[in-house]
Amino acid sequence: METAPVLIAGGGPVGLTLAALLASFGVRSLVIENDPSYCTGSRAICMSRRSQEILGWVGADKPLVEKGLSWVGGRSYYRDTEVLHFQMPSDPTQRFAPMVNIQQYFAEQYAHEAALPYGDLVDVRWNCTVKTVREVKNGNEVDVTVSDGSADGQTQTIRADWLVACDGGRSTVREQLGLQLQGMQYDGKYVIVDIRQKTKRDVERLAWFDPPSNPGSTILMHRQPEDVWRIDYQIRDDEDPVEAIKPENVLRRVQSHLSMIGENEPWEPLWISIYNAKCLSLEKYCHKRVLFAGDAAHLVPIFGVRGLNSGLDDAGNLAWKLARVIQGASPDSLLDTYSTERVHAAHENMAYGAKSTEFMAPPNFAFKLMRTATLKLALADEKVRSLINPRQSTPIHYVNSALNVADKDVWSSDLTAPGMPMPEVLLDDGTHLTQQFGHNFICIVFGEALEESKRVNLEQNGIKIYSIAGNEYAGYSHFLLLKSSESAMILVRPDGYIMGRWKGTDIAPLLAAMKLTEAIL
Amino acid sequence: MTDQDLDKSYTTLCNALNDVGESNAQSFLAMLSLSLIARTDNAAEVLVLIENAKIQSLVGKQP
Repeated sequence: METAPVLIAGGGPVGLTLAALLASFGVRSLVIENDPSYCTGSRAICMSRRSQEILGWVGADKPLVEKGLSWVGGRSYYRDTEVLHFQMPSDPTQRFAPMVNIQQYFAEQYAHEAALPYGDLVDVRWNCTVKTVREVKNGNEVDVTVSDGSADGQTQTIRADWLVACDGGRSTVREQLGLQLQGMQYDGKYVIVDIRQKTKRDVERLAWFDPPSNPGSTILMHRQPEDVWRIDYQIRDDEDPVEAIKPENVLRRVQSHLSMIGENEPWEPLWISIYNAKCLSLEKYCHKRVLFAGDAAHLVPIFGVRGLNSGLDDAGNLAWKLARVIQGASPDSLLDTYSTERVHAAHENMAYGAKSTEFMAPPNFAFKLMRTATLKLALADEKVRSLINPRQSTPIHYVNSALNVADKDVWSSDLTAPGMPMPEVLLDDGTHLTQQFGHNFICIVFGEALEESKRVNLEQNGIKIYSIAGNEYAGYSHFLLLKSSESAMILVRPDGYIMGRWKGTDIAPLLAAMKLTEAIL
Repeated sequence: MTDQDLDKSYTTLCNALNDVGESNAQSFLAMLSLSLIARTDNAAEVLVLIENAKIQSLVGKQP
């Protein structure tokens, strides 16, 4: 029987990224994917700054940023008048734009190509389908069917120490384990259309409420590479979804809107589908030797682009933990922190996503009435404009994670609190602090340099040291708020999240923090 | 009022409005307006907001 330390069910963006990340830690995985290659259509398109950072751990950020269209803000219109122009936090010291638009199949390709240099550590098999999952001692046996073009596929059994389900919203692994997503769905339906059309317009998120081109509807537009527009629009509650996605009905509405906004180049449709917002999650993502990530674990509304972005954060959180467990550095229970942190993140994402959905597709008369009031008022009252802001994906604070070490010192900024993602710093050599992340625990030393004996001690305990001083001080003063004479240390996990922070240069609490990862209860 | 607090209040208001139902919506919003007015520092501020809401309500309507 074939064996694999890690079997990843699903070679979508989350599965392929996880495989590359695991390989970067020296862990071998086998990825099996139902489809013959990367996805078709375009699916997810907005990759957050955090996702770019995660892909950067294996070098997949470069092709993504080169190919993709970066953007920082957007505009919302009520009828034909602009009511909001928003900008996401962005300054020249950042490594990545807040968002980059790109077709999902490119993201999959770049994650896969990032895995190739690891050779035998990653094996991706297309046309391979999970059929059954059986729990065995310290692992699972998974029956898969390999279709080779002939009518009957061959079935084979793979024994995996760990099975990671990245097999999407209709996860076979989830079904095999008898698990169900819990939560709620919204009725409001959106048609999603990709078209090819040349444009000179800026790359921005564009939203229209009740536009003259489609009265009563809400329309979203995003540019993608290769002259592609993503257009999402809401259909009326009384419309038949099957009728609504018939090309003749879609194309008429799209044409009407393109004409309204003055996009008059010839165009052709590429992809039409229909969507309704869901807030669904498993209760936990760790089930003995089966782990869940991405859409297999949770489905969040598209508004706010938290779907794929939260899936990549799952992969980033899971990879270093699973590697430590497999390599014997941490007990299996470290993976419980994957579940608690990422379930918490899913709930936060669903709460934000629900708010965005309630504005984009009001679920009842009250939300409709208040939205109209907001849009009308926003024309002349800037105080209410923030309600129109789409609440784009941001990294989630892992409040109360078992890996957080509570502050003992007094700090005047929460930006570096335990459980927060480490803020970016532009370094003197022109590189960024986040480029150090993705591989090791790092102790970031601010101010006074550590003595040699302390450095050796930390390094022997698996902690790399990164010192920041001098001119770089200005770059981080806002999130540390240290006095000029003070020194501080921040312990950052391989996924860029902060475990703890200490003033001074006593390394004992850092060593104690590392023990946490060896004895999680 | 921070953006987050505005957001939270908005959602709570929408849910309460849905709970009282469409037939009670006008009376609910009228009562809430009065409560908020009574807690505002002075009339001048309120009068501007009333005038603004009136103008926005009549935009595009026949006089």
